[in-house]
Amino acid sequence: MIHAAFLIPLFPLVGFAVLAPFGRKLGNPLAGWIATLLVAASFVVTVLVFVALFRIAPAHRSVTEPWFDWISVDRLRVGAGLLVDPLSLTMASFVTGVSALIHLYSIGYMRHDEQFPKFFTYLNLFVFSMLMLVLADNFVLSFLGWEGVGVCSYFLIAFWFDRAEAASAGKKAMIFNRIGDAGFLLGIFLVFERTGSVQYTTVFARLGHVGTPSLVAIALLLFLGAVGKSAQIPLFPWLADAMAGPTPVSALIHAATMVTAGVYLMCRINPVLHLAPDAAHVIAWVGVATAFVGATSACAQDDIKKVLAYSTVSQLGYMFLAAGSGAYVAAIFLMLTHAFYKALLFLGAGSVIHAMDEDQDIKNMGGLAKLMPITGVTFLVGWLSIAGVPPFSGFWSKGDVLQNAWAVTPALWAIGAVTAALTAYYMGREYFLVFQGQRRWVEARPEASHGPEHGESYTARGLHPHDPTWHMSVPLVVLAALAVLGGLVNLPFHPSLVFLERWLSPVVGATLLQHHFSAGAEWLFALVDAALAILGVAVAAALWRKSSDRPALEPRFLSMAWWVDAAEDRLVARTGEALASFTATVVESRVVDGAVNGVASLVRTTGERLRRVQSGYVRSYALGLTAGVVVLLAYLLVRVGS
Amino acid sequence: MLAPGAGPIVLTGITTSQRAFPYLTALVLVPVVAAFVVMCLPRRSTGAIRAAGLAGALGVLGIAAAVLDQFQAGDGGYQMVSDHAWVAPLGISWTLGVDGISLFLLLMTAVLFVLALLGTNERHNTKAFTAWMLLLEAGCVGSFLSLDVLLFFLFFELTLVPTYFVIGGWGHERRGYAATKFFLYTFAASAFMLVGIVALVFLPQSQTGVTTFDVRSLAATHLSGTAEMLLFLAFTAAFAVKAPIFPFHTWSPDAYGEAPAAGSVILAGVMAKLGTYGIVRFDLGLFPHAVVVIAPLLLTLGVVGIVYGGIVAAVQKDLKRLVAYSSLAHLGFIVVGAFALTGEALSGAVLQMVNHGLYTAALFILIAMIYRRRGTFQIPRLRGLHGGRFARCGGEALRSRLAVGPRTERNPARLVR
Repeated sequence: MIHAAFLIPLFPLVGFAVLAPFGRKLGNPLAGWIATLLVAASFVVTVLVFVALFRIAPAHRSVTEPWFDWISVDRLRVGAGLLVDPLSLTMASFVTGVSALIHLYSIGYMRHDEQFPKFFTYLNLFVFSMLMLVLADNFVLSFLGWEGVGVCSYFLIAFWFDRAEAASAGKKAMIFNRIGDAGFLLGIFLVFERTGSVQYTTVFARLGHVGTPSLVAIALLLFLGAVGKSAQIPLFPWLADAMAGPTPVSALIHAATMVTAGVYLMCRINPVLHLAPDAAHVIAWVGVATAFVGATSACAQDDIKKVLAYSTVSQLGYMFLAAGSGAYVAAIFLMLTHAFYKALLFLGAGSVIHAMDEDQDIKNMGGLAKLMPITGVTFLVGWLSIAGVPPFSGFWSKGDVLQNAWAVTPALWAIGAVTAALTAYYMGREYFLVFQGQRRWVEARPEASHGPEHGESYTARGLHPHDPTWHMSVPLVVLAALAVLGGLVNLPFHPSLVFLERWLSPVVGATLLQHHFSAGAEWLFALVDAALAILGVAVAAALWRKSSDRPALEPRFLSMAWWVDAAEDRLVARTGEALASFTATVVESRVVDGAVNGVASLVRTTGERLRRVQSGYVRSYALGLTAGVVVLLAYLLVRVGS
Repeated sequence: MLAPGAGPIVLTGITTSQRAFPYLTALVLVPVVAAFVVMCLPRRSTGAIRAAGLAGALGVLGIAAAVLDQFQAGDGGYQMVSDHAWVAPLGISWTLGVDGISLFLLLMTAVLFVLALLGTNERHNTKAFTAWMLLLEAGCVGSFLSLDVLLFFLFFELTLVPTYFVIGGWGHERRGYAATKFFLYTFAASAFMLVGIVALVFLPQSQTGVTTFDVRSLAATHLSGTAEMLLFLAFTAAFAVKAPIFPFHTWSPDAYGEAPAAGSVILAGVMAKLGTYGIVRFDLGLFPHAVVVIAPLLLTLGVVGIVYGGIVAAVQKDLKRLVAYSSLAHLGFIVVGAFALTGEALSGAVLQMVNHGLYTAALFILIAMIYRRRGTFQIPRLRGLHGGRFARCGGEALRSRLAVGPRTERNPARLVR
């Protein structure tokens, strides 16, 4: 059954190959259903392969499925093949599972969009690329998937390309990712140079011969790739702008799957990080700093999706904190539960945005819980999960991360714990502003009264918020169930309950720094986590349940995300542009081309001067001739004479 | 298939295919014949002229496909060699041959000329345009196939004349300046190569007493260190301008930018490869010792070109000039590949030559399509082209609507921007 693994990426690829040329013919909703069913088929195969792998003895749970020789020049050998092991299959199963749900949701969400088939074409291409990324057995093929998801991310952020902000957000995502990709590429080059291979298993087997400085360099270069893809400091501003894409895209790509690719990469190269602890420390600190910056920024956002975007940045920071602490299982655990609750929150937000007729400002919402019960309840579940309220899944996964951070140094834990309370607070703020309190949209509507086509005016009474169609409700309910139950895969109380840890141990077991505390300490950690979460929830409730206007709590430097975007724009983008303009206008036109034109005009002036000699007048030639003869004769006379 | 370029290319015996159908000679002659046919057709019958032109280009493509079919992969030498004495006393001959490097460039050339003739539509004076394009094809194909250095030089220079007229006759506003600059710059650089060729042939002749222009024999002769270095520089001057390599590139944005679409396609797709092909075939093949000494300099120029081209491309407002500078950057990769002097790098360089030819040609054809619909190359004046709306709406009446985009009209504030 493991040989069927190649079907996992093949199904979405087939979907792309069918929809790209025929999508328009298949139309709405058939194109969407084909895409959805193919991804669902991919999920089913993943589960079957998962079961097959489970039946193998743990020590042998790493199966390479070679496909064909891809690049074969001299010493460089790159094959196209899949690495089926617990890590890649865990990734593949939640990627296909969440993707299938979001595909289904999109059939409802995108049903009025005239580009409906194209949306699913890109979505299938994305799933294929993501699966190549996680299933590839070597760095180069993973990089192919890595670039593929980047391109799809660009296409889908800029999906509504005629909105200026969407078009530039797409470009921004592309450019920030390119910076990271350069690091990834250099990392691969260095890996090849030092080990003579790019295949994961071979590379890891040869790490013993590689010096520590090289290992640190490899780890940090690959981490740079991860920083770009997973929106860490300083390359995170693109993710907030990426919210210009359709909401299912935000849920799938910019929350649940693609942005976690960096974390996956760090877990994949765990043998390298193990041998390069300095690099691991950098990763942990960048992670925790990003978690804090993301969470504080989320506290002051007014756009329903931007709160979630900064929250994603923050949660990804936690995952890097875990990976950098050597707690790869905790990183994957958080990634898994995060995929459930963050996808849920985004899909809920999409449902709200639909109900609010594309208005995304949470200050214009309020009181929707009664009108949209399914959305309201599932969003509540998502909030409590991400907040880390027991017994929801986020409580277990975040607790796992924080414990391991403490084991590295309590400072990491302290920042992480403050961030945890902030998480409960900012998500509470969003929940209360959207679903509780006054129905502010009743007054907020009149100025937004321009109809899309005919100038017909909406009034407050024209807006009827209601739960979405079943395509959209079913994924909400399924994801809510997963967000509640997700913690079950790795409960800390007893060694027999840490399923995920045992499952992943063939991949990360050798390098795992998972710290095991005494039962008392475990309970203490759990109590502190729960207390922080409940504190955050309580503060949010006290502040935001009744009021929607507290400017003191939303300072501008937080709503501008610590001015990072503005500073980068000023310092890097503008400076770079000025330098490039200088190069193009001064260096290129005046110096390089100036030299060429200078030579040309030198030749021309010389020629023009000399041209006077060749005037074409016989009399001047005769004059010259005579003069010459005279000079010559004079010379001869003088010589002869002397 | 590709011999590592650092060593001299091994002289192989002429194969038996010499007496078979002269594919390679036919490849050069077919476009010439087609050009004559076009010239004989009446001026008015544009349909027939275009058909004849296309038939010539397709004929080359067909023969090139046959060459691919006949080609023995794994044989490192030249194949299907046609060898006819021409100026026997001086050892100049009509020698054509194909190997793994020229084979793919030949195929790329054949494909691109078909596309250039198909994908562009020069409305005025189609007859002269088509004839010049066909002669240009003969020149390009001949350059890639010549095994005689002087024959190569002739073809290499012959490409200039049609290009000059194509740019000057069918180009955009500053076509006269661009065509003249292109012609003078590349022609001046080629003068160095001509001197180099003469010296290359007559220096060894004083030792061996044999006069030959055959690249296979020349590769086997020995030159003194200084002579080899000077000759290398003379050849490289011509190739560096033709490719172009930084800092000898400034003719290219003007020429690419002002040329008509077909001209840009061939300039960037095919003629740039004459330069890089020359580097691989003649620089690496004839001057192996000089190459090792001077490789660091050319590697540096290549890398500078990559970065510099990228930086300058980033702020271009004109689509064609943008592609011209990005082309400079991408050609830098070929230079780096050629002078890295390893098997991987050389085969990467040849692959990049073909790839660059194909994608740059595609870009120029697409830019021509945009130009035909929107009448500008200026990026700030183009928006909302992506997707079906652009494909469906050709009419000028929809232009203002397209420029803003139907979706943004919902919010009147955005119309103002």
